[in-house]
Amino acid sequence: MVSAILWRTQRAVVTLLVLLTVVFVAVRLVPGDPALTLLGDYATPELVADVQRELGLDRPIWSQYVTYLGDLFTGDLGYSYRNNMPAMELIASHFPYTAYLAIFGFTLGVIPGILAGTLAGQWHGTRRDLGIMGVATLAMSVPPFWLGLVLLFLFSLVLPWFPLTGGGDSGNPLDMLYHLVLPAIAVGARQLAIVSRVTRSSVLDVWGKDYLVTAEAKGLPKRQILRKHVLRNAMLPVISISALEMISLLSGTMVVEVVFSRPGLGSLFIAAVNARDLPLIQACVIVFGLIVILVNFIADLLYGSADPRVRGAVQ
Amino acid sequence: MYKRFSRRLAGAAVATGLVMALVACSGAEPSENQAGDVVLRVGAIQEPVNMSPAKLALGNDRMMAMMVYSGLVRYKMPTTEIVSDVATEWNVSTDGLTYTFKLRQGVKFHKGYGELTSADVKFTVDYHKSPNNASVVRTLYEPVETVETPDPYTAIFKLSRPVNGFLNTLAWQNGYILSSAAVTKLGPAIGTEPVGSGPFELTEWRKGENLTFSRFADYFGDKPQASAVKINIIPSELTQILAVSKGDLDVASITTLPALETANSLDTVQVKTQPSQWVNIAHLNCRPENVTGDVRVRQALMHAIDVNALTSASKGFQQPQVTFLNPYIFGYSDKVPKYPFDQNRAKQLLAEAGYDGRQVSIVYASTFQFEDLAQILKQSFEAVGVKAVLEKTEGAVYSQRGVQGKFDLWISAAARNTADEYLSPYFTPSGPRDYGRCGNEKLGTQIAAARSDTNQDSAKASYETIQQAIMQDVLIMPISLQQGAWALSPKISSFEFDAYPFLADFQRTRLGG
Repeated sequence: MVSAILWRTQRAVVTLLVLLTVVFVAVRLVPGDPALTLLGDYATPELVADVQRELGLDRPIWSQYVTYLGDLFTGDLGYSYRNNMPAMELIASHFPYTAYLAIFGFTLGVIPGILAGTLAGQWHGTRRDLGIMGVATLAMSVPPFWLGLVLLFLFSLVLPWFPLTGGGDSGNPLDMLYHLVLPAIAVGARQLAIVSRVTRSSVLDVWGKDYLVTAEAKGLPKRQILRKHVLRNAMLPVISISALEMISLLSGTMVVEVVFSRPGLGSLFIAAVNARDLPLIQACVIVFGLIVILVNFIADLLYGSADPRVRGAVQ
Repeated sequence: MYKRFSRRLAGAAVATGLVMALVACSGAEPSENQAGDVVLRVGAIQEPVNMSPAKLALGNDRMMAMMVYSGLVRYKMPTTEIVSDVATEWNVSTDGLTYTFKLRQGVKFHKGYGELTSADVKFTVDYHKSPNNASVVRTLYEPVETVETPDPYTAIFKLSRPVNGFLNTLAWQNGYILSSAAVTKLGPAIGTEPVGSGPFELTEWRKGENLTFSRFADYFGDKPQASAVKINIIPSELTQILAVSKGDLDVASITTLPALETANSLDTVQVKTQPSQWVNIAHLNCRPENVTGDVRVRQALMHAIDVNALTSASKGFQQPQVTFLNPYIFGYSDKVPKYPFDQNRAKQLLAEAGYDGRQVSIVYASTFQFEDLAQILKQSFEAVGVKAVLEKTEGAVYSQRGVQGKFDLWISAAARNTADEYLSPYFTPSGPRDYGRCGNEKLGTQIAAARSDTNQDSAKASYETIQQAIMQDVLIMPISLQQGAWALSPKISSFEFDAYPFLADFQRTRLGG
């Protein structure tokens, strides 16, 4: 287990290094001068030069890169030009909003998705199965931002049950939950649809296996067959797809944060790109990269936990 | 098994509904808290970047700086009448080289940074002038040779040359007074931890969410009714207006027609409009190699625009504008060569210029109302046979295209405090904002002379001559004058705002009867 973790860590470091190098170069090649963007309408050549000097942008790129790597190894993710504060501090203040949205949305999507998929699998061929899959297809077709707008219109304006904007008072968990409901539905609906479809297919696939016929013949209760044999085997592809969906959900949160005017990493990242706030862009990419690596690692562990045959290969 | 499962599912659904109802009871923050204090809730499309007077560039930053800082003098909103602020009286010498200000005693800075004295006034000017601080208003203070401080409540500005409109510079946000103690201690952090002597002080900032500016107990002027102004960060203007209608906000600014139409359609929103300083313009590229390098082509394009159609299509939100200076500032004149809508005249001019059918590139940013204006220009030009290509760019690229002169037309908006703030950077040869290289030596000389002319009548005449020359050769294209507009909650009984976009007088805003 320890060697597996070490090996994964090594791989993660290399991945991150490649990622941040690509991003470091890419943001400096993209048109748009951070100094010019900061100064706006009052930019003059002298002021632009002054600000570039202040930000260290007048140095050669290789020198900026070396400094950047050096800072990274000491845990310094850089200083946001636009917000005039350490990028890490900004990310730390915005991260909880995105994390709660992602987790809540994921939970709203995956758990009901597994439930719905399992039921659809058992009710295979019936109208209930058709109904569930019909709803799933619809949910998959609707982009999160559009669903978000519809939810806002219906449940914030027409029926003023939920807030129109904001992430809620960070000191009040109930208030934060209140502000999470609609955005989480907007991001979770698609996950629910995909997970339910995959679960259904997987359940159907497993249900036809010989060992289940044997189990039924032996007189095991249906609930026990479902829990101990069907679901456990059907979950393997669901775990894989859920990991992928968690990653795509993160990009979904970016759009939903804008629709709901919520703070979060997504809106922070978009603002950073618009402002050419290079340190903040780089810091956000690192954080997203770490999240992807972590999610994949957890998925591997869960997969190994569910399937002993895979556990050995993972180790 | 299925019936048991269905019952469990139903139970879970009921429990979820109960939790949601409980959560919903926490509700939105009202504008009156339990102590009966009034909190004014205002929308902003983005967080402030830098609220230091040395770095003020963005509209939102200006809105917030206005609550925090005071100057020697200020404009009496919504006019451009200069009235007392920190200074109780002032005197200008007949040669225009000496400005003497008497300061109010007992003016306090926020957060315990002590009393505002003439030393802070001197510090502020020196700070702006220093090349180490990259102040965006450095050029405005260049004529100030020194600030003398014979006593703590007297500040004497000594200028190297007379400057027309110098008091206007001080009355505007360029004239906000910094606390020398605060700047010395905080350094660049003064941009995000502003310390002024204004009616409100920044007391809380929840990144990405909101900022709270609380009433400053020791403020020297009229006490605001609002105990605090809460700025809520809501990137979409339309969402802000819906939030006003829902009661989640009290004030939202309006800068686009769709937002204005939405606000007007809502019964629970009151809309206040007035003419503003906001002039929509297009910088032209006067370089000989550009299609707009020929004055006849530029004149033709002016004749091609049906501004009355623009006004009617915008339902009055855009008004005709014959010059690039806004009507509020000293030196504005409408006695300039006019270009009435005349497609035949446009075609004639194009023929005289030998127009060869080259495309005209119209570069604009994807913000405000620029898209609508760009579309109207394109349609107008194509109606007279000039093929126009629209190049919509995001903010950073838009700025770069302008600075690099990579355009034929570059749509922008200008709202300036003095005529010279338009003229010097835009029309002196290779001036910092002469992106299209339309400035020339003769204009540069005239502009410098007008800047130093303290005789109001002759200065006004000079500015008129300058505008006539600029519009004769169409060195810039004025498109329209945009209305200023705000969406207000019905609770607001009194509200004034500035002709400059985004600025409102929250100090004197009244809620209730």
